[in-house]
Amino acid sequence: MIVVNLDVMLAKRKMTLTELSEQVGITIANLSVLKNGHAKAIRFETLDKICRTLECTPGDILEWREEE
Amino acid sequence: MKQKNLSLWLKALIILALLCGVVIYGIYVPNTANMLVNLYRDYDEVVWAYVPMLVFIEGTLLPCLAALVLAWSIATEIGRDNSFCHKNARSMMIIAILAAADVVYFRVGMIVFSLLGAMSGPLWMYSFSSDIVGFAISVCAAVLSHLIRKAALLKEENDMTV
Repeated sequence: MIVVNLDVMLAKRKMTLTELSEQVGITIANLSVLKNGHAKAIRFETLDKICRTLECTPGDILEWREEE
Repeated sequence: MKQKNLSLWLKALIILALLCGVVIYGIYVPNTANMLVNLYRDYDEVVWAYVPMLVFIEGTLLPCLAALVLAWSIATEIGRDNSFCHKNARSMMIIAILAAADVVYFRVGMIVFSLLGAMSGPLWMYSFSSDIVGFAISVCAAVLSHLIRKAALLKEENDMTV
């Protein structure tokens, strides 16, 4: 399964979800969906915006783990 | 056309259909039955069927009323910008079942009255046109239900796409 480590990157960059939402231009609701692992898909455009803002790579945000 | 306007027009259509139903089942059907009874008052083998047949015909109104209630619910959801939802798909499927049940009820009743000698051959044949209408409504509603369900699934997936 794909695990979203957005909260880890936000902590590293000392940024809140609200600040990320304002800079990326995506609603807090949608970012919460992503952060909490409820998202079913993510657009490349969204991933690009998040990585550009957090100065990271997609691998820093998305991780594959074996399902327990 | 905006969502809210569409919903209002649908509701107006449902009210119109209800009024037509009231006129047909409340005035036309009883008046026609009375007229036929007066016409055939000397034929006991037909006159006995006046009350049973009137009750039977009025019974076909019940699924129609239930379908109108469901249609109202669908129109309300459309007004809330929630056209593609599982609730609407379910409502549409129930409408399809009600239409099919009405057709079966009507046809079985026609056969029974015909066997009991209360119905002439031509009248029995003309009643097939209502079967075709009911069947068409049932199939269209079933198809719409399927499409709405598919659209609801796509919407759910899209809502969960960031």
